[in-house]
Amino acid sequence: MSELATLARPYAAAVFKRAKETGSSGKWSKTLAFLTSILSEQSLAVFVNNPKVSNESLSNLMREISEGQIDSEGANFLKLLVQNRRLNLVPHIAKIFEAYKAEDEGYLDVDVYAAYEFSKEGRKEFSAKLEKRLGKKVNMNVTVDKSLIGGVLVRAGDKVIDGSVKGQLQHMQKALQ
Amino acid sequence: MQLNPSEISDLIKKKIEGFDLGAEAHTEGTVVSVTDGIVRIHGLSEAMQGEMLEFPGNTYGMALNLERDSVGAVVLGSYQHISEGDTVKCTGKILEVPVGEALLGRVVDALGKPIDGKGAIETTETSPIEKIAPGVIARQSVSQPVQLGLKSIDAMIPVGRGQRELIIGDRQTGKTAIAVDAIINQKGTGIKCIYVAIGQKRSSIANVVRKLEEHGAMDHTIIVAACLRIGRIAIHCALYRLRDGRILQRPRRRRADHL
Repeated sequence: MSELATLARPYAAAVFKRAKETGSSGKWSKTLAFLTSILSEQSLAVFVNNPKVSNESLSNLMREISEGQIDSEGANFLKLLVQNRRLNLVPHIAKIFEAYKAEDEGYLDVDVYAAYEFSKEGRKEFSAKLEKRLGKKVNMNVTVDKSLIGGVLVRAGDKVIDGSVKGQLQHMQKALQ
Repeated sequence: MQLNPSEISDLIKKKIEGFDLGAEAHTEGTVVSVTDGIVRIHGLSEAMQGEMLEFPGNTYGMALNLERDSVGAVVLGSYQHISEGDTVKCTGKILEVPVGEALLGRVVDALGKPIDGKGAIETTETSPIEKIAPGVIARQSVSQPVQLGLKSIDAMIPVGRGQRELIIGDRQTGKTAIAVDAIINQKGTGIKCIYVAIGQKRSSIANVVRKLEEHGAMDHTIIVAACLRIGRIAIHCALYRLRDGRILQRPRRRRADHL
Protein backbone atom coordinates (compact mmCIF):
# COMPACT_ATOMS: atom_id res chain seq x y z
CA MET A 1 0.00 0.00 0.00
CA SER A 2 2.69 2.44 1.00
CA GLU A 3 4.71 1.52 -2.04
CA LEU A 4 1.76 2.32 -4.29
CA ALA A 5 1.46 5.74 -2.66
CA THR A 6 5.13 6.37 -3.40
CA LEU A 7 4.66 5.41 -7.04
CA ALA A 8 1.55 7.53 -7.34
CA ARG A 9 3.07 10.70 -5.91
CA PRO A 10 4.93 11.93 -9.04
CA TYR A 11 1.81 11.46 -11.15
CA ALA A 12 -0.33 13.30 -8.63
CA ALA A 13 2.22 16.11 -8.35
CA ALA A 14 2.37 16.46 -12.13
CA VAL A 15 -1.41 16.52 -12.47
CA PHE A 16 -1.70 19.06 -9.69
CA LYS A 17 0.91 21.36 -11.23
CA ARG A 18 -0.82 21.18 -14.59
CA ALA A 19 -4.20 21.80 -12.97
CA LYS A 20 -2.84 24.89 -11.24
CA GLU A 21 -1.31 26.22 -14.45
CA THR A 22 -4.58 25.93 -16.30
CA GLY A 23 -6.75 26.71 -13.29
CA SER A 24 -8.79 23.58 -13.77
CA SER A 25 -8.30 21.71 -10.51
CA GLY A 26 -12.05 21.21 -10.15
CA LYS A 27 -12.21 19.53 -13.54
CA TRP A 28 -9.19 17.34 -12.81
CA SER A 29 -10.69 16.37 -9.50
CA LYS A 30 -13.82 15.22 -11.34
CA THR A 31 -11.74 13.38 -13.95
CA LEU A 32 -9.81 11.49 -11.29
CA ALA A 33 -12.97 10.65 -9.38
CA PHE A 34 -14.52 9.35 -12.58
CA LEU A 35 -11.48 7.21 -13.38
CA THR A 36 -11.40 5.85 -9.84
CA SER A 37 -15.04 4.87 -10.06
CA ILE A 38 -14.74 3.09 -13.42
CA LEU A 39 -11.56 1.29 -12.35
CA SER A 40 -13.23 0.01 -9.21
CA GLU A 41 -15.59 -1.94 -11.50
CA GLN A 42 -14.66 -5.58 -11.05
CA SER A 43 -15.03 -6.65 -14.69
CA LEU A 44 -12.82 -3.83 -15.89
CA ALA A 45 -10.19 -4.50 -13.22
CA VAL A 46 -9.81 -8.04 -14.55
CA PHE A 47 -9.22 -6.66 -18.00
CA VAL A 48 -6.76 -3.98 -16.85
CA ASN A 49 -4.66 -6.42 -14.85
CA ASN A 50 -4.54 -9.02 -17.59
CA PRO A 51 -1.00 -9.04 -19.04
CA LYS A 52 -2.28 -10.54 -22.30
CA VAL A 53 -4.25 -7.40 -23.12
CA SER A 54 -2.10 -5.14 -25.26
CA ASN A 55 -1.58 -1.49 -24.37
CA GLU A 56 -3.26 -0.48 -27.59
CA SER A 57 -6.52 -2.30 -27.04
CA LEU A 58 -6.59 -1.18 -23.41
CA SER A 59 -6.01 2.38 -24.50
CA ASN A 60 -8.83 2.14 -27.05
CA LEU A 61 -11.16 0.64 -24.47
CA MET A 62 -10.42 3.33 -21.91
CA ARG A 63 -10.95 6.02 -24.54
CA GLU A 64 -14.32 4.62 -25.49
CA ILE A 65 -15.46 4.33 -21.88
CA SER A 66 -14.40 7.82 -20.97
CA GLU A 67 -15.63 9.45 -24.18
CA GLY A 68 -17.34 12.70 -23.34
CA GLN A 69 -16.47 12.45 -19.65
CA ILE A 70 -12.91 13.72 -19.76
CA ASP A 71 -11.17 16.39 -21.83
CA SER A 72 -8.16 15.99 -24.11
CA GLU A 73 -5.63 16.50 -21.30
CA GLY A 74 -7.39 13.87 -19.24
CA ALA A 75 -7.28 11.53 -22.21
CA ASN A 76 -3.55 12.15 -22.57
CA PHE A 77 -3.03 11.39 -18.91
CA LEU A 78 -5.02 8.19 -19.30
CA LYS A 79 -2.93 7.19 -22.30
CA LEU A 80 0.24 7.77 -20.33
CA LEU A 81 -1.02 5.63 -17.49
CA VAL A 82 -1.90 2.83 -19.89
CA GLN A 83 1.51 3.09 -21.55
CA ASN A 84 3.30 2.87 -18.20
CA ARG A 85 0.91 0.15 -17.03
CA ARG A 86 0.01 2.18 -13.96
CA LEU A 87 -3.78 2.22 -14.19
CA ASN A 88 -4.05 0.56 -10.79
CA LEU A 89 -2.45 3.65 -9.23
CA VAL A 90 -5.42 5.86 -10.10
CA PRO A 91 -7.16 5.67 -6.69
CA HIS A 92 -3.92 6.65 -4.96
CA ILE A 93 -3.26 9.43 -7.46
CA ALA A 94 -6.76 10.77 -6.80
CA LYS A 95 -6.19 10.64 -3.05
CA ILE A 96 -2.85 12.44 -3.16
CA PHE A 97 -4.21 14.96 -5.67
CA GLU A 98 -7.08 15.78 -3.31
CA ALA A 99 -4.61 16.18 -0.46
CA TYR A 100 -2.51 18.62 -2.54
CA LYS A 101 -5.62 20.50 -3.54
CA ALA A 102 -6.85 20.74 0.04
CA GLU A 103 -3.47 21.99 1.20
CA ASP A 104 -3.36 24.58 -1.56
CA GLU A 105 -6.85 25.85 -0.81
CA GLY A 106 -6.08 25.88 2.90
CA TYR A 107 -8.69 23.51 4.21
CA LEU A 108 -8.48 20.12 5.85
CA ASP A 109 -10.69 17.08 5.43
CA VAL A 110 -11.63 15.88 8.89
CA ASP A 111 -13.54 12.75 9.77
CA VAL A 112 -15.53 13.18 12.94
CA TYR A 113 -16.98 10.14 14.67
CA ALA A 114 -19.60 11.02 17.26
CA ALA A 115 -21.70 8.86 19.52
CA TYR A 116 -24.76 11.00 18.79
CA GLU A 117 -25.93 13.20 15.94
CA PHE A 118 -24.78 16.84 16.18
CA SER A 119 -27.33 19.61 16.47
CA LYS A 120 -26.96 22.41 13.92
CA GLU A 121 -25.47 24.92 16.37
CA GLY A 122 -23.37 22.22 17.99
CA ARG A 123 -21.90 21.33 14.64
CA LYS A 124 -21.08 24.94 13.87
CA GLU A 125 -19.49 25.48 17.25
CA PHE A 126 -17.49 22.28 17.03
CA SER A 127 -16.21 23.06 13.56
CA ALA A 128 -15.12 26.54 14.75
CA LYS A 129 -13.25 24.93 17.64
CA LEU A 130 -11.57 22.45 15.34
CA GLU A 131 -10.52 25.24 13.01
CA LYS A 132 -8.92 27.04 15.91
CA ARG A 133 -7.14 23.91 17.09
CA LEU A 134 -5.89 22.75 13.69
CA GLY A 135 -5.21 26.25 12.35
CA LYS A 136 -6.99 25.52 9.08
CA LYS A 137 -10.45 25.60 7.60
CA VAL A 138 -12.04 22.23 8.10
CA ASN A 139 -14.33 20.19 5.94
CA MET A 140 -16.20 18.05 8.45
CA ASN A 141 -17.49 14.63 7.58
CA VAL A 142 -19.56 13.40 10.50
CA THR A 143 -20.29 9.72 11.11
CA VAL A 144 -22.37 8.44 13.99
CA ASP A 145 -20.66 5.57 15.80
CA LYS A 146 -22.57 4.21 18.78
CA SER A 147 -19.64 2.07 19.92
CA LEU A 148 -17.87 5.22 21.17
CA ILE A 149 -20.46 5.34 24.04
CA GLY A 150 -20.08 9.13 24.31
CA GLY A 151 -17.98 12.06 23.13
CA VAL A 152 -16.24 12.49 19.78
CA LEU A 153 -13.23 11.14 17.96
CA VAL A 154 -11.61 13.40 15.37
CA ARG A 155 -9.41 12.04 12.63
CA ALA A 156 -7.51 14.52 10.45
CA GLY A 157 -5.15 12.52 8.26
CA ASP A 158 -2.76 10.78 10.63
CA LYS A 159 -3.73 12.91 13.58
CA VAL A 160 -6.34 11.58 15.95
CA ILE A 161 -7.94 13.52 18.79
CA ASP A 162 -9.70 11.01 20.96
CA GLY A 163 -12.27 12.56 23.28
CA SER A 164 -14.58 9.56 23.36
CA VAL A 165 -15.66 7.64 26.42
CA LYS A 166 -14.44 4.45 24.79
CA GLY A 167 -10.95 5.92 24.30
CA GLN A 168 -10.87 7.18 27.86
CA LEU A 169 -11.88 3.79 29.21
CA GLN A 170 -9.09 2.17 27.23
CA HIS A 171 -6.69 4.82 28.52
CA MET A 172 -7.83 4.14 32.06
CA GLN A 173 -7.44 0.40 31.61
CA LYS A 174 -3.83 0.96 30.65
CA ALA A 175 -3.17 3.36 33.51
CA LEU A 176 -4.50 0.89 36.05
CA GLN A 177 -2.32 -1.96 34.91
CA MET B 1 -4.74 -15.99 38.28
CA GLN B 2 -2.04 -14.07 40.09
CA LEU B 3 -2.74 -10.83 41.93
CA ASN B 4 -0.34 -8.09 40.88
CA PRO B 5 1.16 -5.80 43.51
CA SER B 6 -0.47 -2.85 41.71
CA GLU B 7 -3.94 -4.27 42.25
CA ILE B 8 -4.41 -3.17 45.85
CA SER B 9 -7.70 -1.28 46.10
CA ASP B 10 -6.18 1.81 47.72
CA LEU B 11 -3.66 2.09 44.93
CA ILE B 12 -6.41 1.68 42.34
CA LYS B 13 -8.46 4.37 44.08
CA LYS B 14 -5.53 6.76 44.05
CA LYS B 15 -4.92 6.11 40.39
CA ILE B 16 -8.57 6.76 39.55
CA GLU B 17 -8.44 10.02 41.51
CA GLY B 18 -5.39 11.20 39.66
CA PHE B 19 -6.60 9.96 36.29
CA ASP B 20 -6.40 12.61 33.61
CA LEU B 21 -9.61 12.64 31.61
CA GLY B 22 -8.47 15.12 28.96
CA ALA B 23 -8.92 14.38 25.28
CA GLU B 24 -5.95 12.52 23.97
CA ALA B 25 -4.30 13.62 20.73
CA HIS B 26 -1.93 11.32 18.92
CA THR B 27 -0.85 10.19 15.48
CA GLU B 28 -2.08 6.92 14.10
CA GLY B 29 -0.99 4.56 11.37
CA THR B 30 -1.91 1.19 9.93
CA VAL B 31 0.19 -1.95 9.82
CA VAL B 32 0.93 -2.87 6.20
CA SER B 33 3.10 -5.93 6.69
CA VAL B 34 4.60 -8.01 9.47
CA THR B 35 7.75 -10.02 8.80
CA ASP B 36 9.63 -11.66 11.67
CA GLY B 37 9.05 -8.89 14.16
CA ILE B 38 9.72 -6.14 11.62
CA VAL B 39 6.57 -4.15 10.88
CA ARG B 40 5.87 -1.68 8.10
CA ILE B 41 3.36 0.99 9.01
CA HIS B 42 1.51 3.31 6.68
CA GLY B 43 0.95 6.81 8.02
CA LEU B 44 2.54 7.96 11.28
CA SER B 45 3.85 11.06 9.52
CA GLU B 46 5.06 12.56 12.79
CA ALA B 47 6.96 9.57 14.18
CA MET B 48 10.44 10.26 15.55
CA GLN B 49 13.52 8.13 15.10
CA GLY B 50 13.60 5.66 17.97
CA GLU B 51 10.10 6.58 19.12
CA MET B 52 8.05 4.10 21.09
CA LEU B 53 5.01 2.94 19.14
CA GLU B 54 1.99 1.35 20.71
CA PHE B 55 0.56 -1.75 19.06
CA PRO B 56 -2.70 -3.44 20.03
CA GLY B 57 -2.49 -5.91 22.90
CA ASN B 58 -0.20 -3.79 25.10
CA THR B 59 2.79 -4.38 22.85
CA TYR B 60 5.37 -1.74 22.09
CA GLY B 61 7.74 -1.21 19.22
CA MET B 62 10.47 1.15 18.15
CA ALA B 63 10.32 3.26 14.97
CA LEU B 64 13.56 2.92 13.03
CA ASN B 65 13.06 3.45 9.30
CA LEU B 66 11.37 6.75 8.63
CA GLU B 67 10.34 6.82 4.99
CA ARG B 68 8.09 9.15 3.10
CA ASP B 69 4.94 7.06 3.12
CA SER B 70 5.76 4.43 5.68
CA VAL B 71 7.63 3.72 8.88
CA GLY B 72 9.62 0.58 9.57
CA ALA B 73 9.49 -0.54 13.17
CA VAL B 74 10.62 -3.42 15.31
CA VAL B 75 8.28 -5.06 17.77
CA LEU B 76 9.63 -5.53 21.27
CA GLY B 77 8.47 -8.88 22.47
CA SER B 78 5.98 -11.19 20.88
CA TYR B 79 4.54 -10.17 17.51
CA GLN B 80 2.27 -13.11 16.73
CA HIS B 81 -0.92 -11.22 17.50
CA ILE B 82 -0.09 -8.25 15.25
CA SER B 83 -1.54 -8.42 11.77
CA GLU B 84 -2.08 -6.30 8.69
CA GLY B 85 -4.61 -3.53 9.24
CA ASP B 86 -3.97 -3.05 12.96
CA THR B 87 -3.73 0.52 14.16
CA VAL B 88 -0.50 1.80 15.66
CA LYS B 89 -0.24 4.86 17.87
CA CYS B 90 2.65 7.22 18.43
CA THR B 91 3.44 7.72 22.10
CA GLY B 92 5.64 10.78 21.70
CA LYS B 93 8.35 9.16 23.79
CA ILE B 94 11.76 7.98 22.67
CA LEU B 95 12.33 4.41 23.81
CA GLU B 96 13.81 4.68 27.28
CA VAL B 97 14.84 2.40 30.09
CA PRO B 98 14.77 3.19 33.80
CA VAL B 99 18.17 3.98 35.31
CA GLY B 100 19.41 4.80 38.79
CA GLU B 101 20.43 3.33 42.10
CA ALA B 102 17.09 1.52 42.47
CA LEU B 103 18.22 -1.00 39.89
CA LEU B 104 21.00 -2.30 42.14
CA GLY B 105 20.30 -5.78 43.38
CA ARG B 106 17.65 -6.41 40.75
CA VAL B 107 17.25 -8.68 37.77
CA VAL B 108 15.71 -6.86 34.82
CA ASP B 109 14.99 -7.69 31.21
CA ALA B 110 16.40 -5.75 28.30
CA LEU B 111 13.73 -3.05 28.61
CA GLY B 112 14.31 -2.52 32.31
CA LYS B 113 11.26 -4.43 33.51
CA PRO B 114 11.93 -6.42 36.68
CA ILE B 115 11.82 -10.19 36.24
CA ASP B 116 12.83 -11.20 39.74
CA GLY B 117 9.36 -10.85 41.28
CA LYS B 118 10.46 -8.20 43.79
CA GLY B 119 7.95 -5.58 42.69
CA ALA B 120 8.23 -2.43 40.62
CA ILE B 121 11.49 -0.52 40.34
CA GLU B 122 11.14 2.80 42.15
CA THR B 123 13.06 5.14 39.93
CA THR B 124 12.14 8.43 38.36
CA GLU B 125 15.05 8.70 35.96
CA THR B 126 15.11 7.19 32.50
CA SER B 127 17.69 7.21 29.77
CA PRO B 128 17.15 6.76 26.01
CA ILE B 129 18.32 3.47 24.55
CA GLU B 130 19.81 4.95 21.40
CA LYS B 131 22.45 7.42 22.44
CA ILE B 132 26.07 7.97 21.60
CA ALA B 133 28.54 6.69 24.16
CA PRO B 134 31.25 9.12 25.29
CA GLY B 135 34.35 8.91 23.10
CA VAL B 136 37.89 8.09 24.12
CA ILE B 137 38.84 11.74 24.63
CA ALA B 138 35.91 12.49 26.90
CA ARG B 139 36.68 9.56 29.17
CA GLN B 140 39.06 9.70 32.09
CA SER B 141 42.30 7.90 31.47
CA VAL B 142 42.85 4.54 33.11
CA SER B 143 44.93 5.14 36.23
CA GLN B 144 44.11 2.43 38.72
CA PRO B 145 43.48 -1.29 38.58
CA VAL B 146 40.38 -3.27 39.40
CA GLN B 147 41.12 -6.20 41.66
CA LEU B 148 39.38 -9.19 40.15
CA GLY B 149 40.26 -11.35 43.12
CA LEU B 150 42.05 -13.91 40.99
CA LYS B 151 45.74 -13.71 41.88
CA SER B 152 47.05 -14.95 38.56
CA ILE B 153 45.03 -12.42 36.53
CA ASP B 154 45.66 -9.50 38.91
CA ALA B 155 49.39 -10.20 38.85
CA MET B 156 49.99 -11.00 35.20
CA ILE B 157 47.32 -9.16 33.24
CA PRO B 158 45.72 -6.54 35.52
CA VAL B 159 42.54 -4.92 34.31
CA GLY B 160 42.31 -1.15 34.60
CA ARG B 161 39.30 0.73 35.90
CA GLY B 162 37.27 1.86 32.90
CA GLN B 163 39.00 -0.59 30.64
CA ARG B 164 37.25 -3.23 28.58
CA GLU B 165 38.37 -6.78 28.83
CA LEU B 166 37.18 -9.63 26.72
CA ILE B 167 36.89 -13.05 28.33
CA ILE B 168 36.95 -15.62 25.61
CA GLY B 169 37.28 -19.37 25.68
CA ASP B 170 35.73 -22.72 24.92
CA ARG B 171 32.59 -23.73 26.73
CA GLN B 172 32.83 -25.09 30.23
CA THR B 173 36.25 -23.52 30.79
CA GLY B 174 35.10 -21.06 33.46
CA LYS B 175 34.36 -17.76 31.75
CA THR B 176 31.27 -17.21 33.88
CA ALA B 177 33.24 -18.25 36.97
CA ILE B 178 35.82 -15.50 36.33
CA ALA B 179 33.08 -12.92 35.83
CA VAL B 180 31.17 -13.98 38.95
CA ASP B 181 34.37 -14.06 41.03
CA ALA B 182 35.20 -10.58 39.82
CA ILE B 183 31.76 -9.30 40.82
CA ILE B 184 31.98 -10.88 44.26
CA ASN B 185 35.39 -9.33 44.84
CA GLN B 186 33.98 -5.81 44.27
CA LYS B 187 31.93 -6.06 47.46
CA GLY B 188 32.54 -2.99 49.61
CA THR B 189 34.75 -1.19 47.08
CA GLY B 190 31.96 1.00 45.69
CA ILE B 191 32.29 -0.43 42.20
CA LYS B 192 28.92 -1.23 40.66
CA CYS B 193 28.70 -4.29 38.48
CA ILE B 194 26.31 -5.09 35.67
CA TYR B 195 26.02 -8.66 34.49
CA VAL B 196 24.46 -8.77 31.04
CA ALA B 197 23.34 -12.24 30.01
CA ILE B 198 22.35 -12.44 26.38
CA GLY B 199 20.62 -15.41 24.86
CA GLN B 200 21.18 -17.59 27.90
CA LYS B 201 18.84 -20.02 29.53
CA ARG B 202 16.84 -18.73 32.48
CA SER B 203 18.26 -21.51 34.61
CA SER B 204 21.86 -20.40 34.08
CA ILE B 205 20.90 -16.83 34.94
CA ALA B 206 19.17 -18.08 38.10
CA ASN B 207 22.36 -19.94 39.00
CA VAL B 208 24.44 -16.77 38.72
CA VAL B 209 21.92 -14.82 40.80
CA ARG B 210 21.96 -17.51 43.51
CA LYS B 211 25.75 -17.55 43.61
CA LEU B 212 25.91 -13.77 43.94
CA GLU B 213 23.25 -13.73 46.66
CA GLU B 214 25.11 -16.41 48.61
CA HIS B 215 28.15 -14.14 48.78
CA GLY B 216 26.14 -10.98 49.40
CA ALA B 217 27.26 -9.49 46.11
CA MET B 218 23.82 -8.62 44.74
CA ASP B 219 23.78 -5.29 46.61
CA HIS B 220 26.14 -3.72 44.11
CA THR B 221 25.06 -5.71 41.06
CA ILE B 222 22.46 -5.33 38.34
CA ILE B 223 21.60 -8.30 36.17
CA VAL B 224 20.24 -7.61 32.72
CA ALA B 225 18.86 -10.77 31.21
CA ALA B 226 17.75 -11.03 27.61
CA CYS B 227 16.58 -14.60 27.42
CA LEU B 228 16.03 -16.48 24.22
CA ARG B 229 12.31 -16.36 24.85
CA ILE B 230 11.83 -12.61 24.47
CA GLY B 231 13.21 -12.14 21.01
CA ARG B 232 16.09 -10.67 19.14
CA ILE B 233 15.07 -7.04 19.43
CA ALA B 234 15.29 -7.10 23.19
CA ILE B 235 18.71 -8.65 22.82
CA HIS B 236 19.71 -5.75 20.62
CA CYS B 237 18.58 -3.41 23.37
CA ALA B 238 20.51 -5.37 25.96
CA LEU B 239 23.65 -4.92 23.91
CA TYR B 240 23.17 -1.18 24.22
CA ARG B 241 23.15 -1.49 27.96
CA LEU B 242 26.69 -2.82 27.81
CA ARG B 243 27.85 0.66 26.92
CA ASP B 244 26.99 2.18 30.26
CA GLY B 245 28.60 -0.38 32.47
CA ARG B 246 31.64 -2.43 32.96
CA ILE B 247 31.59 -5.36 30.63
CA LEU B 248 32.14 -8.43 32.68
CA GLN B 249 31.25 -11.03 30.17
CA ARG B 250 30.69 -10.89 26.48
CA PRO B 251 27.69 -12.84 25.29
CA ARG B 252 28.56 -16.43 25.76
CA ARG B 253 26.36 -17.80 23.06
CA ARG B 254 26.23 -15.50 20.12
CA ARG B 255 23.83 -16.89 17.64
CA ALA B 256 24.07 -15.56 14.13
CA ASP B 257 20.35 -15.05 13.88
CA HIS B 258 20.30 -12.84 16.93
CA LEU B 259 22.96 -10.34 16.09
